[in-house]
Amino acid sequence: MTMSIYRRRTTPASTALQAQQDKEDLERIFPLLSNYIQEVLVESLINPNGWTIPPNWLPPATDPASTPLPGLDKRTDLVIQYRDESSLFVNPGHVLHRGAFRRQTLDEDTNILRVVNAAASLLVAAACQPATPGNSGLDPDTWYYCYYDLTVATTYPGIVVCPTPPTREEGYGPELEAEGDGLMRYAGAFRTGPAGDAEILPYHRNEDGQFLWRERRLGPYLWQNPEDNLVSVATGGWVEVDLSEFVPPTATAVFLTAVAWDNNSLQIRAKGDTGANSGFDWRARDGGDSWGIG
Amino acid sequence: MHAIDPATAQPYPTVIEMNNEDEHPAIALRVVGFRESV
Repeated sequence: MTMSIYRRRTTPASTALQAQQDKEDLERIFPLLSNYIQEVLVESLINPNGWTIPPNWLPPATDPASTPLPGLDKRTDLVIQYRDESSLFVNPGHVLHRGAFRRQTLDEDTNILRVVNAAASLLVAAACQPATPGNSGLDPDTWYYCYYDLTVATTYPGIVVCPTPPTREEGYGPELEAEGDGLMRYAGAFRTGPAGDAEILPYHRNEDGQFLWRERRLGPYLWQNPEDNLVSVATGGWVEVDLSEFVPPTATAVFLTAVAWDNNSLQIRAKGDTGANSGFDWRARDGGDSWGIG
Repeated sequence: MHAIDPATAQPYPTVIEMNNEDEHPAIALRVVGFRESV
């Protein structure tokens, strides 16, 4: 006897609820074939881009058109890295979102990491104006914010560069909604150098959102050049230090080093964090330098 | 993602406070990096 199993049609508009009903119906009829049924369901969940979405990534949303699906709204492995003064590169990974699952693979033409020209990717629109009107390149001394554009026709996500920062504090969710039809996702910031070159300042970004400067002037080795020091005089008490040239407003934490000598000490705290046991106290050893990261 | 300082309208990680009153004031304080929610 030949037996055929017909499942409900599952589309992005019907998605999880019917898929769950399919699964329960089939497991009730064929309990010994539950593993096989799981495979059927996996293959049945196809989104408009043609990618398969495992059912366990789909939350039990009853109104997929309006309910945020946080389980799909995340990225894995995808990091936008500094390549050179004018371009970035993207390693393979995924961008997930309800109804749109984009896989960033190797570049189709060269089979190397995908290269993104930052100026060519600049979004110039009403909601995203450059500091210099009409400027088609990168402005100097400016934080730029990268977004994955999931509205593009390609299988991999588009990369958009924009001087407008993201608005969602959790780091996930639609950004630049006026431009991207709710399908822009924040990917991380970079900064340009001083006027005259407007080049991308070198950095390395880890998969967990950690951004490390590669500029030597920001490391501890040039501490013998006082003019390069962020602070070179006794402060006479607590003073405010503006780090906005080195830290974007999207940052949740900052990593610092300090170099001192001969039992010298330095206290650091978040602005206004005046409570007991707050901040950090660094002290150098007698007769030697020391440094620390807080 | 970040807390805004009402006085400066700056998120806290972009503005810190430091205190250095020692006899050797030269201190190289540098930003190594930061973390974002991405």
